[in-house]
Amino acid sequence: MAIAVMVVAFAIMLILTTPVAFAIAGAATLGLMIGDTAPLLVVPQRIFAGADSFVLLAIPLFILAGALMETGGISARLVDLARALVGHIRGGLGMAVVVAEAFFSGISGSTVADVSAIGSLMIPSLKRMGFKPDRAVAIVSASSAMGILIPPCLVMVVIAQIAGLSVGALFLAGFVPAAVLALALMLLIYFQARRDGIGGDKRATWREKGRAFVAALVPLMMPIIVFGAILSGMADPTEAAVLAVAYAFVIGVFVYKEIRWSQLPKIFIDSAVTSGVVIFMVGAASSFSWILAFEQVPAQLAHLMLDISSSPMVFFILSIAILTVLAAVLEGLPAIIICLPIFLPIAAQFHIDPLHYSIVVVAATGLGLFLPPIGIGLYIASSFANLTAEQTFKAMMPYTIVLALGMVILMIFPWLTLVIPRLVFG
Amino acid sequence: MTEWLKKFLHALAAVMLLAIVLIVLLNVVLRYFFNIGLGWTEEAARFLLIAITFVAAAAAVKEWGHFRLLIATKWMSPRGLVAVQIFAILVVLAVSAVLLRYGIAITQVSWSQTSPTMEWKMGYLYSIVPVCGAIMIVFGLEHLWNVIRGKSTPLQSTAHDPHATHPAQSAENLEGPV
Amino acid sequence: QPAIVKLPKKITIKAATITAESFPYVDGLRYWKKAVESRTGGDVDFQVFHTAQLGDERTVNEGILAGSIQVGIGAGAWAGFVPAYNVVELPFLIRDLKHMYSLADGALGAKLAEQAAAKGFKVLAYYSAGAQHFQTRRTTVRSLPDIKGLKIRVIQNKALIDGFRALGAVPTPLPYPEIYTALQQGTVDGTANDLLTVTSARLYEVVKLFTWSSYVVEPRPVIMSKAYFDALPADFQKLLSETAQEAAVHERKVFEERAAGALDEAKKNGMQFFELTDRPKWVEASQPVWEAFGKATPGAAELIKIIQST
Ligand code: NA
Ligand code: NA
Repeated sequence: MAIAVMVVAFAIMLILTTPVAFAIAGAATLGLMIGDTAPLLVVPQRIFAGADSFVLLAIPLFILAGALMETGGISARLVDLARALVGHIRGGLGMAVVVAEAFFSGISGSTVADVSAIGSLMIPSLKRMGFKPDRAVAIVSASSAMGILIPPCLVMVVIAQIAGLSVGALFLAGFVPAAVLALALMLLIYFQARRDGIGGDKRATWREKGRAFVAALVPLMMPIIVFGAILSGMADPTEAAVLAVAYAFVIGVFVYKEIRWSQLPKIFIDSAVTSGVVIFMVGAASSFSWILAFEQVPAQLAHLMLDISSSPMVFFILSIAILTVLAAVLEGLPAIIICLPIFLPIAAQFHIDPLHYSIVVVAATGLGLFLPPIGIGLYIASSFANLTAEQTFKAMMPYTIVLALGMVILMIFPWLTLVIPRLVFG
Repeated sequence: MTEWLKKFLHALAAVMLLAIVLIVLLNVVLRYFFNIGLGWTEEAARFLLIAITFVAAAAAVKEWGHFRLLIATKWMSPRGLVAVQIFAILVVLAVSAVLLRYGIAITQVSWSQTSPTMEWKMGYLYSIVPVCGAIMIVFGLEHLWNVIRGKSTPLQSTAHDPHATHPAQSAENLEGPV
Repeated sequence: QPAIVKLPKKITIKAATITAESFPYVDGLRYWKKAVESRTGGDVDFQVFHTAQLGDERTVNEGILAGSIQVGIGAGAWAGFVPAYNVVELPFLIRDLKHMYSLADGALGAKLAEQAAAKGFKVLAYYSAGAQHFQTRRTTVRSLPDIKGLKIRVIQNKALIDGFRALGAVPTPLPYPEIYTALQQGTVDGTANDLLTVTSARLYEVVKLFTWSSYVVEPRPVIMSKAYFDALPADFQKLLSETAQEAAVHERKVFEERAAGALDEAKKNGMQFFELTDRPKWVEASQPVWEAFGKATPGAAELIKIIQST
């Protein structure tokens, strides 16, 4: 009862242009007033706790790094290089984004943080290259949704814990599914770019390529620093973000001298306010998910699903659909934490391989975050193109369809998930 | 007056972000190059992030800069639009009131609680919630006053794009493929 | 067959812990649930939440005081309310599981409950979190000099951080979900955990060296709000207290059994086990931390004295 009221109230407030964070918190407040007895204090407490996360610290840091790179001329030189290398391929830069996200997404455990990072770095570049802003948002969003399957991925570490699976096996299991999705996305980008005449520069000569490469040497150090720091064990993802900030600052201010000191206050203010708005929304969502758990909604859903059908595939599709929608509103980790402990035992009853199920869950959280019209990742990515989320729905549609189809393929063919782990672990 | 308050919140958020950068950087450098573990840096950075979140969320109410779904406004009459804006402002005011009233409650519950590493009083940190709730109410009432007098809340949701080289760029770029 | 306790109206008790479902706390809470429900004839709906479904430890503790949650398991964050509880995080002070059980069921447990009551908490029993030992990537820790300069992951807790610093290690606070990747990539050189955590987080995939050290052995209080507890009918209070104790006995037993199984699993996965050769030296190195903590923290000195004399 309380839950139905919450959901309906949330939908009404959302449609009536209430700021999303306040619509979620408002719905949560209503839910607390009519549900099991819990004080309204839960709302401020959960928003506070939602922001209380070392992982989310990566958000302001990567946004700041992106702003410094953009203002300091680093992004422009990277785009020049990408142009020289893949500019003659239709939509080449779009494909480069897919590759970049494949590495980046999921590292921080918060896809919101990932899309903030890549979105702030790549969307301005895509726009400069001739992509419409809404298309740029769609490409970055879809790539983030896909990239969560490629390790390192914090969501997988948490799932391993809940499901009693090997972290290493989960990491390996994500590769083939991600490759399938990445390939589908690249094809889509290619066909769209061909149709719209994006990219397709004259093929750069080796001399031009060389020149672009030399000019981009300093900027190219940026990803090397970020990934090198993480993979060498120098820093965790949040700390790597701060190294990116320091590097972009030094290059922009002292090497290229394209950032003036007088610009810095605005850069810091804009980065801080954008991150604050994003994290406030994550916090509000955490009050909503708390009430779902408190009212034992996931357990009731499980009963309901078993009543509806005893077919494994029906359970599979229903449970994944629920997870996708929850991930859209709540972020991936909270959705997984409240649902997976309920769903996994049922999956086991139906003889669905837990590793297979878990990977589809990871893909579902990726899809959900960018699902129009509710995925909060899409709202954030849109803001980097200075668009409202609904301005990107149309462009997002074909990408959503490709991702959803990809997920169905993953569901039907467990082999795609299990082949590499079986090769390695026997 | 409220403009001044917003500028103050902006400056505060920016300074706290700078502090996060310096603290986290210091921790990496000391640990990696000097094998020194400070211990308190993670907690300090997290607390600053919480503060930034509430301060920025309050400032964004003034700018009406929180994410919104505007799709339904296409089909609304001007009078309907005014009603919808008033509704949205009232929800923001209600949630802000919850943050104020129950922010005080959680501050009281945590008054004698200390944080694990720096041993700060959690109550001090929690008090940022009711303070920002009160500021949101002030900004919200200002919007309500403006809408009743016939002005509109800002329609663009993304007041802060740190990368907006062309601040005016928006919907006009969207008309179909090239 | 014990008598059925009737309540004036039906009540719901929500018990929350941050650990995964496979951790013995959950077994303890479910054992308690059964005992309470079966002896109240359907008047009590006792719900168990795990995996931080109702929030991290700090917010659960706050929720207990605020009335959104009724039962929790106090750990590191609980010391935010009851600072002297951190004596259980002082390295090498509590010697082993047996020592910990007798402390928890004896003078230490009683004294802590008294201190907690002043902060609004009712302590009903003490669960076991097992004994914590070292796991390291490259350096085998056998004697005190081995740990010098190693970056050891700790949870955010001043007593633990100071403790590792006194032993010569470099304490590195990291959030729990990041342990696996941090160990894999070498951001830290080692960690300290009980055997169950080593297997449930699959840490043996990324660290192979395990040193039996029992550097801390922590009793974990089962807590409620004192105001809430005091408002319950007297016969139900008695029932709650008794069954909480029975559940704690069950939890400790489950922990020991499961730890034995975890040891086999870790060995099968290539983990090597070592002993400390110079335990007295570790104890000696830790003593200044105990003394400093006893001086700095109200109520801690008397707890340390109880532990040393038991
Ligand atoms: Na990835
Ligand atoms: Na990843």
